[in-house]
Amino acid sequence: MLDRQITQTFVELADTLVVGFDIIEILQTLTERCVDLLDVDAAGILLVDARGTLQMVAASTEQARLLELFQVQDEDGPCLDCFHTGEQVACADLTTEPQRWPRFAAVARERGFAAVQAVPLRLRDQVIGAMNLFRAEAGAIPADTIAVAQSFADVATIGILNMRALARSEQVAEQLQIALTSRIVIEQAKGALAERRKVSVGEAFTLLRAYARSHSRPLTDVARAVVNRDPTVADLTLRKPR
Amino acid sequence: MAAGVIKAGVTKDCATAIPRRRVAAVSSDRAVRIAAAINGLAQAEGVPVSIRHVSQACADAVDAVGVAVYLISEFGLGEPLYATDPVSEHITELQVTLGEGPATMALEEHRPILEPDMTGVHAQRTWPLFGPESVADGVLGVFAFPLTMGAIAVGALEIYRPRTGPLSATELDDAFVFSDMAMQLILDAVDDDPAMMEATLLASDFGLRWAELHQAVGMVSAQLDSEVTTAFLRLRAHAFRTGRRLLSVADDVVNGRLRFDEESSDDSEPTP
Repeated sequence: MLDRQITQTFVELADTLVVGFDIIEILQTLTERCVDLLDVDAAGILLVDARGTLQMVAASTEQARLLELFQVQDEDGPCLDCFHTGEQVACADLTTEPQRWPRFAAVARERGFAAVQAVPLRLRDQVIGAMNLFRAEAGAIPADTIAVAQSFADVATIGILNMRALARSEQVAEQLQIALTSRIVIEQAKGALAERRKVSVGEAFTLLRAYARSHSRPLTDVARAVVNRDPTVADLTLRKPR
Repeated sequence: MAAGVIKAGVTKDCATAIPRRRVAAVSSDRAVRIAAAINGLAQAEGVPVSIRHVSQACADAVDAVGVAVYLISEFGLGEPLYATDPVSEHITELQVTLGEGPATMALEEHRPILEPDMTGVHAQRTWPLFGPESVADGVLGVFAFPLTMGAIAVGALEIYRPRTGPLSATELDDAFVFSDMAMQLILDAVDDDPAMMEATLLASDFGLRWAELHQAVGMVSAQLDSEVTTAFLRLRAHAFRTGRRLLSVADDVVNGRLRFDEESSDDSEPTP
Protein backbone atom coordinates (compact mmCIF):
# COMPACT_ATOMS: atom_id res chain seq x y z
CA MET A 1 0.00 0.00 0.00
CA LEU A 2 2.79 2.37 1.00
CA ASP A 3 4.80 1.37 -2.06
CA ARG A 4 1.92 2.19 -4.33
CA GLN A 5 1.48 5.60 -2.76
CA ILE A 6 5.18 6.27 -3.11
CA THR A 7 5.04 5.24 -6.75
CA GLN A 8 2.02 7.47 -7.21
CA THR A 9 3.99 10.39 -5.80
CA PHE A 10 6.73 9.81 -8.39
CA VAL A 11 4.11 9.83 -11.12
CA GLU A 12 2.80 13.16 -9.82
CA LEU A 13 6.32 14.56 -9.73
CA ALA A 14 6.85 13.44 -13.31
CA ASP A 15 4.23 16.05 -14.20
CA THR A 16 7.04 18.57 -13.67
CA LEU A 17 8.53 17.33 -16.92
CA VAL A 18 5.41 18.36 -18.82
CA VAL A 19 5.08 21.90 -20.14
CA GLY A 20 2.58 24.06 -18.34
CA PHE A 21 2.68 22.61 -14.87
CA ASP A 22 2.56 24.80 -11.77
CA ILE A 23 5.79 24.35 -9.87
CA ILE A 24 4.54 25.77 -6.58
CA GLU A 25 1.51 23.53 -6.67
CA ILE A 26 3.65 20.45 -7.24
CA LEU A 27 6.13 21.31 -4.50
CA GLN A 28 3.28 21.99 -2.11
CA THR A 29 1.83 18.58 -2.90
CA LEU A 30 5.26 17.04 -2.39
CA THR A 31 5.52 18.40 1.15
CA GLU A 32 2.09 16.99 1.94
CA ARG A 33 3.00 13.60 0.48
CA CYS A 34 6.14 13.49 2.60
CA VAL A 35 4.04 14.00 5.72
CA ASP A 36 1.53 11.34 4.60
CA LEU A 37 4.05 8.70 3.58
CA LEU A 38 7.34 9.19 5.43
CA ASP A 39 6.31 9.28 9.08
CA VAL A 40 7.34 12.89 9.58
CA ASP A 41 5.21 15.69 11.00
CA ALA A 42 6.05 18.55 8.70
CA ALA A 43 8.03 19.33 5.55
CA GLY A 44 9.18 22.55 3.89
CA ILE A 45 11.03 23.45 0.68
CA LEU A 46 13.38 26.34 -0.08
CA LEU A 47 14.38 27.24 -3.65
CA VAL A 48 17.04 29.67 -4.79
CA ASP A 49 15.72 32.39 -7.11
CA ALA A 50 17.31 34.05 -10.14
CA ARG A 51 19.18 36.51 -7.92
CA GLY A 52 20.66 33.75 -5.76
CA THR A 53 18.35 34.38 -2.80
CA LEU A 54 16.74 31.44 -1.03
CA GLN A 55 12.96 31.62 -0.93
CA MET A 56 10.51 29.45 0.94
CA VAL A 57 8.18 28.06 -1.67
CA ALA A 58 6.16 25.32 0.01
CA ALA A 59 5.42 23.83 3.42
CA SER A 60 3.02 21.24 4.71
CA THR A 61 1.90 23.26 7.73
CA GLU A 62 1.95 26.84 8.88
CA GLN A 63 4.54 25.92 11.51
CA ALA A 64 6.94 24.48 8.99
CA ARG A 65 6.36 27.53 6.84
CA LEU A 66 7.36 29.79 9.72
CA LEU A 67 10.47 27.78 10.38
CA GLU A 68 11.60 27.94 6.78
CA LEU A 69 11.04 31.67 6.76
CA PHE A 70 12.99 31.99 9.94
CA GLN A 71 15.91 30.08 8.49
CA VAL A 72 16.06 32.25 5.47
CA GLN A 73 15.84 35.50 7.39
CA ASP A 74 18.45 34.56 9.92
CA GLU A 75 20.88 32.49 7.90
CA ASP A 76 20.87 29.74 10.46
CA GLY A 77 19.45 26.23 10.12
CA PRO A 78 19.81 22.75 8.63
CA CYS A 79 18.14 23.66 5.31
CA LEU A 80 20.65 26.46 4.75
CA ASP A 81 23.62 24.22 5.62
CA CYS A 82 22.20 21.64 3.26
CA PHE A 83 21.88 24.18 0.46
CA HIS A 84 25.36 25.61 0.95
CA THR A 85 27.08 22.22 1.14
CA GLY A 86 24.85 20.28 -1.24
CA GLU A 87 24.87 17.43 1.28
CA GLN A 88 22.20 15.90 3.50
CA VAL A 89 22.10 17.41 6.98
CA ALA A 90 20.40 15.91 10.04
CA CYS A 91 19.83 16.42 13.70
CA ALA A 92 18.09 13.67 15.65
CA ASP A 93 17.54 15.79 18.75
CA LEU A 94 17.71 19.55 18.66
CA THR A 95 17.90 19.75 22.47
CA THR A 96 21.25 17.92 22.54
CA GLU A 97 22.97 20.17 20.00
CA PRO A 98 21.86 23.70 20.92
CA GLN A 99 25.06 25.27 19.63
CA ARG A 100 24.62 23.97 16.10
CA TRP A 101 21.83 26.31 15.02
CA PRO A 102 21.02 28.19 18.21
CA ARG A 103 18.19 30.39 17.03
CA PHE A 104 16.64 27.87 14.65
CA ALA A 105 16.71 25.17 17.37
CA ALA A 106 14.98 27.45 19.86
CA VAL A 107 12.19 28.33 17.45
CA ALA A 108 11.82 24.72 16.29
CA ARG A 109 11.43 23.47 19.84
CA GLU A 110 8.93 26.21 20.56
CA ARG A 111 6.89 25.02 17.58
CA GLY A 112 7.04 21.46 18.83
CA PHE A 113 9.69 19.94 16.58
CA ALA A 114 12.56 17.88 18.02
CA ALA A 115 14.22 16.25 15.01
CA VAL A 116 15.07 17.53 11.56
CA GLN A 117 16.41 16.12 8.26
CA ALA A 118 17.39 18.20 5.24
CA VAL A 119 17.98 16.82 1.73
CA PRO A 120 19.37 18.89 -1.13
CA LEU A 121 17.53 19.65 -4.38
CA ARG A 122 20.57 18.90 -6.46
CA LEU A 123 21.58 17.67 -9.93
CA ARG A 124 25.32 16.99 -10.19
CA ASP A 125 27.00 20.33 -9.41
CA GLN A 126 23.86 22.40 -9.30
CA VAL A 127 22.10 22.87 -5.96
CA ILE A 128 18.85 24.75 -6.42
CA GLY A 129 17.41 24.43 -2.92
CA ALA A 130 16.66 22.04 -0.09
CA MET A 131 13.82 20.16 1.56
CA ASN A 132 13.42 19.95 5.34
CA LEU A 133 11.59 17.16 7.15
CA PHE A 134 10.52 17.74 10.77
CA ARG A 135 9.49 15.37 13.55
CA ALA A 136 7.87 16.12 16.89
CA GLU A 137 9.63 13.21 18.52
CA ALA A 138 13.41 13.09 18.87
CA GLY A 139 15.18 10.24 17.09
CA ALA A 140 17.04 9.74 13.82
CA ILE A 141 14.88 9.53 10.72
CA PRO A 142 15.45 6.06 9.17
CA ALA A 143 17.81 5.72 6.24
CA ASP A 144 15.21 4.37 3.82
CA THR A 145 12.88 7.27 4.61
CA ILE A 146 15.71 9.65 3.83
CA ALA A 147 16.39 7.75 0.61
CA VAL A 148 12.80 8.13 -0.55
CA ALA A 149 12.80 11.81 0.36
CA GLN A 150 16.01 12.29 -1.60
CA SER A 151 14.50 10.54 -4.62
CA PHE A 152 11.46 12.81 -4.47
CA ALA A 153 13.78 15.79 -4.29
CA ASP A 154 15.85 14.50 -7.23
CA VAL A 155 12.85 14.15 -9.50
CA ALA A 156 11.54 17.57 -8.52
CA THR A 157 14.97 19.07 -9.24
CA ILE A 158 15.08 17.67 -12.76
CA GLY A 159 11.61 19.02 -13.41
CA ILE A 160 12.48 22.50 -12.16
CA LEU A 161 15.74 22.71 -14.13
CA ASN A 162 13.95 21.48 -17.24
CA MET A 163 11.27 24.12 -16.84
CA ARG A 164 13.86 26.86 -16.33
CA ALA A 165 15.86 25.80 -19.39
CA LEU A 166 12.72 25.93 -21.46
CA ALA A 167 11.76 29.34 -20.09
CA ARG A 168 15.19 30.70 -20.88
CA SER A 169 15.15 29.31 -24.39
CA GLU A 170 11.72 30.81 -24.99
CA GLN A 171 13.00 34.12 -23.74
CA VAL A 172 16.00 34.07 -26.06
CA ALA A 173 13.93 32.96 -29.01
CA GLU A 174 11.57 35.85 -28.30
CA GLN A 175 14.46 38.31 -28.11
CA LEU A 176 15.79 37.02 -31.40
CA GLN A 177 12.39 37.29 -33.00
CA ILE A 178 11.99 40.85 -31.76
CA ALA A 179 15.44 41.87 -32.99
CA LEU A 180 14.85 40.36 -36.39
CA THR A 181 11.29 41.62 -36.72
CA SER A 182 12.30 45.16 -35.72
CA ARG A 183 14.82 45.20 -38.48
CA ILE A 184 12.28 43.99 -41.01
CA VAL A 185 9.65 46.52 -39.93
CA ILE A 186 12.12 49.38 -40.21
CA GLU A 187 13.01 48.35 -43.77
CA GLN A 188 9.33 48.06 -44.66
CA ALA A 189 8.66 51.49 -43.19
CA LYS A 190 11.52 53.00 -45.20
CA GLY A 191 9.92 51.65 -48.37
CA ALA A 192 6.38 52.66 -47.45
CA LEU A 193 7.43 56.19 -46.45
CA ALA A 194 9.61 56.58 -49.55
CA GLU A 195 6.55 55.79 -51.66
CA ARG A 196 4.13 58.00 -49.74
CA ARG A 197 6.40 61.00 -49.53
CA LYS A 198 7.99 60.44 -52.97
CA VAL A 199 11.50 60.48 -51.59
CA SER A 200 14.41 58.05 -51.70
CA VAL A 201 14.68 55.21 -49.21
CA GLY A 202 17.65 56.93 -47.57
CA GLU A 203 15.70 60.17 -47.15
CA ALA A 204 12.74 58.19 -45.79
CA PHE A 205 15.01 56.73 -43.10
CA THR A 206 16.13 60.23 -42.11
CA LEU A 207 12.48 61.34 -41.85
CA LEU A 208 11.63 58.32 -39.72
CA ARG A 209 14.44 58.98 -37.29
CA ALA A 210 13.72 62.68 -37.06
CA TYR A 211 10.06 61.97 -36.35
CA ALA A 212 10.92 59.39 -33.70
CA ARG A 213 13.26 61.88 -31.99
CA SER A 214 10.91 64.85 -32.08
CA HIS A 215 7.98 62.78 -30.80
CA SER A 216 10.14 60.88 -28.28
CA ARG A 217 8.94 57.56 -29.64
CA PRO A 218 11.13 54.51 -30.28
CA LEU A 219 12.07 54.16 -33.94
CA THR A 220 10.56 50.67 -34.13
CA ASP A 221 7.23 51.99 -32.83
CA VAL A 222 7.11 54.71 -35.45
CA ALA A 223 8.10 52.20 -38.14
CA ARG A 224 5.34 49.84 -37.06
CA ALA A 225 2.80 52.67 -37.11
CA VAL A 226 3.83 53.66 -40.62
CA VAL A 227 3.60 50.07 -41.86
CA ASN A 228 0.22 49.55 -40.19
CA ARG A 229 -1.12 52.75 -41.78
CA ASP A 230 -1.81 54.11 -38.30
CA PRO A 231 -3.52 57.52 -38.45
CA THR A 232 -1.42 58.77 -35.53
CA VAL A 233 1.54 59.14 -37.89
CA ALA A 234 -0.46 60.77 -40.68
CA ASP A 235 1.61 63.92 -40.25
CA LEU A 236 4.65 61.84 -41.21
CA THR A 237 3.20 59.89 -44.13
CA LEU A 238 1.07 62.50 -45.87
CA ARG A 239 2.71 63.92 -48.94
CA LYS A 240 3.58 67.53 -48.30
CA PRO A 241 2.27 70.09 -50.82
CA ARG A 242 5.00 71.87 -52.77
CA MET B 1 22.84 19.33 -22.45
CA ALA B 2 24.78 16.24 -23.40
CA ALA B 3 28.32 15.83 -24.75
CA GLY B 4 29.00 18.08 -27.70
CA VAL B 5 27.79 21.26 -26.02
CA ILE B 6 29.58 24.13 -27.69
CA LYS B 7 30.16 27.32 -25.80
CA ALA B 8 31.37 30.56 -27.31
CA GLY B 9 33.36 32.90 -25.15
CA VAL B 10 35.31 36.07 -25.49
CA THR B 11 39.03 35.59 -25.09
CA LYS B 12 41.79 38.14 -25.37
CA ASP B 13 44.43 37.68 -28.01
CA CYS B 14 47.53 38.76 -26.14
CA ALA B 15 49.53 39.60 -29.24
CA THR B 16 47.07 42.15 -30.58
CA ALA B 17 44.96 42.91 -27.48
CA ILE B 18 41.81 42.78 -29.59
CA PRO B 19 38.91 40.91 -28.03
CA ARG B 20 38.35 37.85 -30.15
CA ARG B 21 35.34 35.64 -30.26
CA ARG B 22 36.12 32.01 -30.52
CA VAL B 23 33.87 29.03 -30.62
CA ALA B 24 35.15 26.71 -27.92
CA ALA B 25 34.32 23.04 -27.65
CA VAL B 26 33.92 21.71 -24.16
CA SER B 27 33.76 18.02 -24.87
CA SER B 28 33.94 15.35 -27.59
CA ASP B 29 36.58 14.93 -30.28
CA ARG B 30 34.10 15.80 -33.01
CA ALA B 31 33.25 19.12 -31.41
CA VAL B 32 36.93 19.93 -30.88
CA ARG B 33 37.73 19.20 -34.49
CA ILE B 34 34.81 21.26 -35.76
CA ALA B 35 35.52 24.20 -33.46
CA ALA B 36 39.13 24.18 -34.69
CA ALA B 37 37.99 24.27 -38.32
CA ILE B 38 35.64 27.20 -37.69
CA ASN B 39 38.14 29.14 -35.59
CA GLY B 40 40.82 28.51 -38.21
CA LEU B 41 38.77 30.20 -40.90
CA ALA B 42 38.08 33.21 -38.71
CA GLN B 43 41.67 33.55 -37.62
CA ALA B 44 42.88 33.35 -41.20
CA GLU B 45 40.73 36.41 -41.93
CA GLY B 46 41.65 38.07 -38.67
CA VAL B 47 38.02 38.64 -37.72
CA PRO B 48 35.66 37.41 -35.03
CA VAL B 49 33.86 34.15 -35.71
CA SER B 50 30.60 34.63 -37.63
CA ILE B 51 27.91 32.58 -39.32
CA ARG B 52 29.98 32.87 -42.48
CA HIS B 53 32.76 30.73 -40.98
CA VAL B 54 30.38 28.16 -39.57
CA SER B 55 28.72 27.82 -42.99
CA GLN B 56 31.98 27.54 -44.91
CA ALA B 57 33.52 25.04 -42.50
CA CYS B 58 30.33 22.98 -42.70
CA ALA B 59 30.41 22.96 -46.51
CA ASP B 60 34.04 21.76 -46.39
CA ALA B 61 33.33 19.07 -43.80
CA VAL B 62 30.38 17.42 -45.56
CA ASP B 63 31.69 17.83 -49.09
CA ALA B 64 28.89 20.15 -50.13
CA VAL B 65 28.68 22.64 -52.98
CA GLY B 66 27.26 25.17 -50.53
CA VAL B 67 25.56 25.86 -47.19
CA ALA B 68 23.00 28.46 -46.18
CA VAL B 69 21.63 29.62 -42.83
CA TYR B 70 18.14 31.02 -42.34
CA LEU B 71 16.56 32.84 -39.42
CA ILE B 72 12.84 32.60 -38.87
CA SER B 73 11.08 35.79 -39.90
CA GLU B 74 7.73 37.35 -39.39
CA PHE B 75 5.96 35.59 -42.21
CA GLY B 76 6.84 32.28 -40.54
CA LEU B 77 9.33 31.60 -43.29
CA GLY B 78 13.07 31.52 -43.06
CA GLU B 79 14.84 34.76 -43.83
CA PRO B 80 18.13 33.87 -45.48
CA LEU B 81 20.95 35.13 -43.33
CA TYR B 82 23.97 33.88 -45.22
CA ALA B 83 24.82 31.60 -48.12
CA THR B 84 28.31 30.47 -49.08
CA ASP B 85 28.00 31.01 -52.85
CA PRO B 86 25.69 32.30 -55.60
CA VAL B 87 24.00 28.95 -56.25
CA SER B 88 23.15 28.60 -52.56
CA GLU B 89 21.87 32.18 -52.53
CA HIS B 90 19.58 31.31 -55.40
CA ILE B 91 18.28 28.19 -53.64
CA THR B 92 17.34 30.20 -50.55
CA GLU B 93 15.71 32.83 -52.71
CA LEU B 94 13.71 30.10 -54.43
CA GLN B 95 12.42 28.79 -51.12
CA VAL B 96 11.23 32.21 -50.03
CA THR B 97 9.70 32.87 -53.45
CA LEU B 98 7.95 29.52 -53.70
CA GLY B 99 7.19 29.13 -50.01
CA GLU B 100 8.33 25.53 -49.99
CA GLY B 101 11.48 23.48 -49.62
CA PRO B 102 13.47 21.43 -47.11
CA ALA B 103 14.50 24.32 -44.85
CA THR B 104 10.95 25.67 -44.88
CA MET B 105 9.67 22.24 -43.87
CA ALA B 106 12.39 21.80 -41.24
CA LEU B 107 11.27 25.07 -39.66
CA GLU B 108 7.63 24.11 -39.73
CA GLU B 109 8.12 20.59 -38.39
CA HIS B 110 11.06 21.20 -36.03
CA ARG B 111 12.99 18.22 -37.39
CA PRO B 112 15.79 17.60 -39.88
CA ILE B 113 14.58 17.18 -43.46
CA LEU B 114 17.04 15.07 -45.43
CA GLU B 115 16.50 14.73 -49.15
CA PRO B 116 19.22 12.73 -50.86
CA ASP B 117 17.59 12.91 -54.29
CA MET B 118 15.78 15.98 -55.56
CA THR B 119 15.16 14.18 -58.87
CA GLY B 120 13.24 11.39 -57.15
CA VAL B 121 9.52 10.85 -56.74
CA HIS B 122 9.47 11.82 -53.07
CA ALA B 123 11.08 15.21 -53.66
CA GLN B 124 8.98 16.00 -56.72
CA ARG B 125 5.81 15.15 -54.84
CA THR B 126 6.76 16.99 -51.65
CA TRP B 127 8.09 20.13 -53.35
CA PRO B 128 6.54 20.23 -56.83
CA LEU B 129 7.69 23.79 -57.40
CA PHE B 130 11.03 23.82 -55.61
CA GLY B 131 12.17 20.34 -56.68
CA PRO B 132 12.63 21.00 -60.40
CA GLU B 133 14.17 24.42 -59.75
CA SER B 134 16.71 22.92 -57.40
CA VAL B 135 17.64 20.27 -59.95
CA ALA B 136 17.88 22.94 -62.65
CA ASP B 137 20.43 24.70 -60.42
CA GLY B 138 22.47 21.51 -60.16
CA VAL B 139 21.58 20.86 -56.52
CA LEU B 140 20.52 17.23 -56.22
CA GLY B 141 20.91 16.59 -52.48
CA VAL B 142 19.45 19.00 -49.90
CA PHE B 143 19.71 18.48 -46.12
CA ALA B 144 18.07 20.95 -43.75
CA PHE B 145 18.56 21.12 -39.97
CA PRO B 146 16.41 23.33 -37.76
CA LEU B 147 18.28 25.49 -35.27
CA THR B 148 16.41 24.75 -32.10
CA MET B 149 16.41 25.68 -28.46
CA GLY B 150 14.23 23.16 -26.75
CA ALA B 151 10.80 23.41 -28.32
CA ILE B 152 11.55 26.52 -30.36
CA ALA B 153 13.06 26.70 -33.85
CA VAL B 154 14.74 30.01 -34.63
CA GLY B 155 16.25 29.13 -37.99
CA ALA B 156 17.71 26.44 -40.18
CA LEU B 157 21.02 25.33 -41.66
CA GLU B 158 20.76 23.85 -45.15
CA ILE B 159 23.39 21.79 -46.99
CA TYR B 160 23.49 21.53 -50.80
CA ARG B 161 25.20 18.77 -52.73
CA PRO B 162 25.69 18.45 -56.50
CA ARG B 163 25.02 14.71 -56.53
CA THR B 164 22.36 12.34 -55.21
CA GLY B 165 23.06 10.23 -52.15
CA PRO B 166 22.61 10.61 -48.38
CA LEU B 167 24.98 12.18 -45.91
CA SER B 168 27.23 9.56 -44.34
CA ALA B 169 26.88 8.84 -40.62
CA THR B 170 29.93 11.00 -39.90
CA GLU B 171 28.68 13.83 -42.09
CA LEU B 172 25.30 13.68 -40.40
CA ASP B 173 26.86 13.85 -36.93
CA ASP B 174 29.03 16.74 -38.09
CA ALA B 175 26.01 18.56 -39.48
CA PHE B 176 24.28 18.40 -36.08
CA VAL B 177 27.34 19.89 -34.40
CA PHE B 178 27.55 22.66 -37.01
CA SER B 179 23.88 23.43 -36.40
CA ASP B 180 24.55 23.65 -32.67
CA MET B 181 27.45 26.00 -33.31
CA ALA B 182 25.30 28.22 -35.53
CA MET B 183 22.67 28.25 -32.78
CA GLN B 184 25.27 29.22 -30.17
CA LEU B 185 26.55 32.09 -32.28
CA ILE B 186 23.04 33.38 -32.80
CA LEU B 187 22.34 33.08 -29.06
CA ASP B 188 25.48 35.01 -28.22
CA ALA B 189 24.61 37.68 -30.74
CA VAL B 190 21.25 38.19 -29.11
CA ASP B 191 22.95 38.80 -25.77
CA ASP B 192 25.47 41.21 -27.26
CA ASP B 193 25.00 44.89 -27.87
CA PRO B 194 23.30 45.79 -31.17
CA ALA B 195 26.53 46.70 -32.98
CA MET B 196 28.05 43.30 -32.25
CA MET B 197 24.82 41.62 -33.29
CA GLU B 198 24.96 43.36 -36.64
CA ALA B 199 28.54 42.20 -37.12
CA THR B 200 27.79 38.61 -36.27
CA LEU B 201 24.49 38.16 -37.96
CA LEU B 202 23.39 40.77 -40.35
CA ALA B 203 26.26 42.38 -42.23
CA SER B 204 26.71 40.26 -45.32
CA ASP B 205 25.97 41.48 -48.83
CA PHE B 206 23.29 38.87 -49.09
CA GLY B 207 21.64 40.19 -45.95
CA LEU B 208 21.64 43.71 -47.34
CA ARG B 209 19.89 42.54 -50.50
CA TRP B 210 17.15 41.01 -48.37
CA ALA B 211 16.73 44.41 -46.76
CA GLU B 212 15.83 45.64 -50.23
CA LEU B 213 13.09 43.03 -50.42
CA HIS B 214 11.51 44.39 -47.24
CA GLN B 215 11.78 47.93 -48.57
CA ALA B 216 10.04 46.77 -51.75
CA VAL B 217 7.30 45.17 -49.67
CA GLY B 218 6.80 48.49 -47.87
CA MET B 219 6.67 50.39 -51.15
CA VAL B 220 4.19 48.01 -52.72
CA SER B 221 2.00 48.13 -49.61
CA ALA B 222 1.90 51.92 -49.99
CA GLN B 223 1.24 51.69 -53.73
CA LEU B 224 -1.65 49.30 -53.15
CA ASP B 225 -2.67 50.87 -49.83
CA SER B 226 -2.69 47.34 -48.42
CA GLU B 227 -1.23 45.24 -45.61
CA VAL B 228 2.40 44.17 -45.98
CA THR B 229 1.41 40.51 -46.20
CA THR B 230 -0.63 41.26 -49.31
CA ALA B 231 2.24 43.27 -50.75
CA PHE B 232 4.66 40.41 -50.12
CA LEU B 233 2.35 37.90 -51.79
CA ARG B 234 1.97 40.18 -54.81
CA LEU B 235 5.74 40.55 -55.19
CA ARG B 236 6.20 36.86 -54.84
CA ALA B 237 3.44 36.12 -57.36
CA HIS B 238 5.06 38.48 -59.85
CA ALA B 239 8.43 36.76 -59.48
CA PHE B 240 6.84 33.36 -59.77
CA ARG B 241 4.77 34.29 -62.79
CA THR B 242 7.55 36.00 -64.73
CA GLY B 243 10.19 33.45 -63.73
CA ARG B 244 12.35 36.27 -62.37
CA ARG B 245 14.32 36.22 -59.18
CA LEU B 246 12.55 37.72 -56.19
CA LEU B 247 15.49 39.94 -55.20
CA SER B 248 15.72 41.20 -58.76
CA VAL B 249 12.03 42.13 -58.75
CA ALA B 250 12.56 43.86 -55.40
CA ASP B 251 15.46 45.81 -56.82
CA ASP B 252 13.26 47.00 -59.69
CA VAL B 253 10.57 48.14 -57.26
CA VAL B 254 13.00 49.99 -54.99
CA ASN B 255 14.53 51.76 -57.99
CA GLY B 256 11.16 52.77 -59.43
CA ARG B 257 11.31 50.52 -62.50
CA LEU B 258 8.32 48.46 -61.39
CA ARG B 259 5.13 49.63 -59.72
CA PHE B 260 2.11 47.83 -58.37
CA ASP B 261 -0.52 50.53 -58.60
CA GLU B 262 -4.12 49.48 -59.15
CA GLU B 263 -4.01 50.92 -62.68
CA SER B 264 -0.85 49.14 -63.80
CA SER B 265 -1.19 46.02 -65.94
CA ASP B 266 1.03 44.01 -63.60
CA ASP B 267 -1.77 43.81 -61.11
CA SER B 268 -4.29 42.02 -63.24
CA GLU B 269 -2.87 38.63 -62.36
CA PRO B 270 -4.33 36.81 -59.37
CA THR B 271 -1.93 35.45 -56.78
CA PRO B 272 -1.15 31.74 -57.20
